[in-house]
Formats: sequence, structure tokens, C-alpha cells
Amino acid sequence: MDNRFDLYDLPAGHEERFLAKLDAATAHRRGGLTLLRWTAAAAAAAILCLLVFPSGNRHFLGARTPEAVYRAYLEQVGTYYTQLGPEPADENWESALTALTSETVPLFDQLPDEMPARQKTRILKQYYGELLDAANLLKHEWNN
Amino acid sequence: MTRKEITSFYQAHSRRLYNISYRILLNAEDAEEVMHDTILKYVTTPWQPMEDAQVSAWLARTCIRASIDRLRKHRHEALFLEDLARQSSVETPQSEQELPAETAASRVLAALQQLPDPYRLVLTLVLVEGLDYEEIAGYTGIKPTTLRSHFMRGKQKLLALLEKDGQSI
Repeated sequence: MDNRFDLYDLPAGHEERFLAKLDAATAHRRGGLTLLRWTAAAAAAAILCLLVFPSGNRHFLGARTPEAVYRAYLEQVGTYYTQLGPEPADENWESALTALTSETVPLFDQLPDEMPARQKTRILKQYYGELLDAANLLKHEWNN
Repeated sequence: MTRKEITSFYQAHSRRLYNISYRILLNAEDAEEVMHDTILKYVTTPWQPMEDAQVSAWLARTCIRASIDRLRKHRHEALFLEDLARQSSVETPQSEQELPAETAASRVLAALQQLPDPYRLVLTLVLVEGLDYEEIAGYTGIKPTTLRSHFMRGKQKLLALLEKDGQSI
């Protein structure tokens, strides 16, 4: 790392644009959580499932490495797409699924190399498990 | 993190990340977006406590990965991996920003901007970011031997440009 080469000035207004993105991301997250809480209350079966297993982990029961968790996650997302039908509810779910699972840079690639594999595995299970849970809850809600 | 902490974090890291991305992409808008996304990803993800150096390293790695990813999206991947002879005939990107004329670093950066993407990428990552070939190979998917070759030829071109300009490293 050599700071002598950091000679390019940032464009005017960069910080304001960042704060606007931050606000949008925070609002989206809050809105998403409200929707999830509401749908969770309606989806008794999903709640039961969440009570029996730690959050998200049931999707990755056999996965013991970060690679295995990410592979299982991708397979599950692929399976969801194959289950899509022509119904309007499926269109809604497809949009939600795409929004939930699109990652510019996957978290799997972003975890620091020096982080222990066990910790990575736990973080990935929680993160991707919650995404899959959210997709399941939304599907259940729209189908009812 | 509170909003105040995030703002302070942003002010501490934005310039460095923007410069890392800009040296790879040579596009102010793209570099700003990559820098924003990198910092946003960090501040909205719950992490275990990390040392400052670890945070800086994570941010730099994520920024480099995202910048290379964006560079690839902008240029057809086949073109990106084309052989060197054809690459050198590709029109070199124009600099968007004027650099201060006095410093040696600014002369090197100006010369780097005139190099084709493969040379500029490897020279920037090795000389400025201090990465090794193995690490760059992990980011780009290009073999370390090819990267070494890009580096050697890129360095020759860089020196020629600096000499032509009456300068030396």
C-alpha cells in the first residue's frame, strides 16, 4: 500500500451521494424486516421450522466448510428457480428471489482470508440461511 | 455503527479506496460507485471486532475485486485476455482527471494511464498496492507466469514512456 499515489481527488458531492445510498440501504433493510416480521406471523409452518432449527442452519445441515455452504446455497437458489410457475404469485416471488439473492460481490468472496474456516462457515450459514428463509416466507405468503 | 461513526469511517477510507479503484478503472463515476459499494458493504454487515489493519486490508481487497469485476464487465472478457500484440494496438484510455505536474508519483501515474489494461492492471497492483502474482492471479484468473510477463513488458513500456518524457523513476 503506497499512499503517495493517492493523487486523484474525489468528485464533488461524493460524500452526499454516499449518505443518500446509506439512507436508502437502511430504509430498505428496515422495510424488509417489517415485511418479514409480518409474513412470519402469518406463516405458522415456517415459524415452527425456525423454532426447531437454529436460524438458517437447516438449509446447510451437511455443510461443514465455507465452500460447501456456498455451494448448497447456490443449489437451493437454483432449485427455487426451477419451481417457478406462470402464476402472478410466482412472478412476485421470482422478483423477490432475484432481489434477495443478487450479490455484486458474494459475501463468500468477501470474507477475509485470515478468518478461520469455522467462523466463515458460521457467518455464511447465518447470512445465506436468512436469505433462504426470507425467500421461503415470501413464497408461502404469496401462495396463500 | 452510528451515522456519525459511519461518516467518520467514510472520511477515513474513501480517498484511498477511490484511488485504488480509479487506478484500475480510469473512470471517476465507476470508481466512486465501487468505493461507495465497498464501504456500504462494510458498514452494513455485522462483523466480529477487527484491527484497523485488518479492516484496511479487507476494504482494499474488496475494492480491488469489485474494480476488476467491473473492468471485465466493461470490456469483453475475451478482449481482456487477448494476446499482448493485439492488446497493445487497442486505443489507450484517456485520463479523466488532470494530475498535479510536480511529483514523481504523478508522472508515474500519468504514464501508467497510457498503458493498455493488462499492463496497467498488473503494474498498479504490484507497484502501488504491493500485491504478489499469486494474489493477483486469485483476483483475475490469469496465470502468475502470464502476469509476470505482463509486468516485465509493462515495466519496459512504462520506463520508455518516462524516458520519452525526459523523466526517470
